Amino acid sequence: MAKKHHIFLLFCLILTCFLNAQETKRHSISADFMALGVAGYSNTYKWYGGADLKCCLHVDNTDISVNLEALTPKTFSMGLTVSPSFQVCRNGYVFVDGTLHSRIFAQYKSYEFVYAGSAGFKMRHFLVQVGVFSKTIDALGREWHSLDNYVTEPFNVLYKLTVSIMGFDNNWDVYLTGSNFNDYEYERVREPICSLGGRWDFKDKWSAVAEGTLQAAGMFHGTVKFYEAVMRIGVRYKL
Amino acid sequence: MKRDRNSLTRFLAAGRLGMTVIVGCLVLLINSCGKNIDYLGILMTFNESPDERFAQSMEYNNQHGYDKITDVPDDYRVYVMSDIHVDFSTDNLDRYVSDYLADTEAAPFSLCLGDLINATGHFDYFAEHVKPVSDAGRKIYYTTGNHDIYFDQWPEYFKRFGSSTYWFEVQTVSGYKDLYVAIESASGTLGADQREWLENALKDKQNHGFRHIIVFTHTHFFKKDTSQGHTSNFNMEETYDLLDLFDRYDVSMVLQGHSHSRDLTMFKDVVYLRVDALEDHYPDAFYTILKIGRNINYEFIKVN
Repeated sequence: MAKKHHIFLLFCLILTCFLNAQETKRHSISADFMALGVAGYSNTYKWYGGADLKCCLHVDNTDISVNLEALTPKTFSMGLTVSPSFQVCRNGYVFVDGTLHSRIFAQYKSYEFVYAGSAGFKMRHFLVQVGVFSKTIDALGREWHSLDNYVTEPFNVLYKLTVSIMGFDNNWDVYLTGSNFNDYEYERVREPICSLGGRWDFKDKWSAVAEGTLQAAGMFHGTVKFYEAVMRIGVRYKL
Repeated sequence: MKRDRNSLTRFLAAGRLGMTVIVGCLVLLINSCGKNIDYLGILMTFNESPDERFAQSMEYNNQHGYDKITDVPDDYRVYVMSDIHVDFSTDNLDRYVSDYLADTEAAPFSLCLGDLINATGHFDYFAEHVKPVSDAGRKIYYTTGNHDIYFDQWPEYFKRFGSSTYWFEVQTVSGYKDLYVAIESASGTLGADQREWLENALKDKQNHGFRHIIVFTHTHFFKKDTSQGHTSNFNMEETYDLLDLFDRYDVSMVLQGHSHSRDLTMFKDVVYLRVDALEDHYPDAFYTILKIGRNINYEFIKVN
């Protein structure tokens, strides 16, 4: 079970990696902005729509990402990820992620807060990431000193596997991802999120991006059922 | 051309590595579930969807109606069992049945939160061992667990135990009324139709002056410690949605099983009681007795 001091030590490690990843000479700084429209169907909301905004600042070998999502069922999500990476072979990078993430369910008067730490390995056609996260679930406006309480799910495993067909650096790509988290949500370990996405750099600084996501309802001894399908389409601008 | 061939070779190598890792992780995930795995279920989930099972349950309800149990004492005891996983022995189930029938203060009904059997072909064995309950004029109310629908077993379950989504009322001698609502979560989701039915049922019953509203289902809502690492749950959005629904319609208690370990959580003024497994050979097999009165209390009874 993850203790608070373990989480604290993990964050210290990630911050140390962040500092180590900085080049001492001249800094290389760039940024990406992404805006996407969202349409989905789930057993809970039925049809819904919304918008995603992403911003990623690249400072030398470190990515600092901010993600925002607003869905029509009054669900808002926001996340901040710091991800330094290190080249370990000609085409391979090791990276560590430290993430703070929150989702507010205004219509349900509740919210969740996630802190996550993970490590991964990325090659031109392949990415694998494994880590842990802790989730706190609470009600908005909960009275102090009441018997009612927040709920902490202290230990969850996170995982992500991505296979890229053309390579992440090609001017167009199609990729397949299996994970239990993405920029907007952190599911429990047995609730996988499968995505098929594509990117096309159609202009010097502009890319078209699209991703379809299928979420199963649990993995009950191998038997899965439909829970949710989501489509995200938008553009990315490199600064 | 050579460069392209190198790229292709690298891509194929990465693809092979990726596929190996994906398959390895899937095998690990599946094998950590334990025995009796429906391996084909990952790729071939062509059996009934939650919406289709719900439709059959509604058809059953329309034919058989909803029960109303009267003349129950104001304070009564409800026996609850879950995760019996009957395979080739029924020791704990037999103990439950004999204790229940020997308890003269017990309500004339009992609850079963699913996973009656472990794998295939044991519903008849289970039914045979609970028959003394119906012979004594008492009734067990069931809801389906994930093990009850593996290997396309829903038709067999449905034939023997009927609807998995329904409600029934209990009226005490002094006129107090309690409402019990069974919801089916064997696939870790209610499905859109059952979700809508649940809200309509709770809305409809909201102003009927119920003393307690008790919801019972198989899949649990919270995963507070690693003891539940082997079980699947509802997706998070469905979890928040249902937690809010229970709060809005003044549900007193939600009974759940599935994880084989007990837990008590209070969230938004609703009590979530997860009960132990009654499975044979399980080191800590318990059943639960709810003591329903002005308040709801509970007791766990060890059977082995």
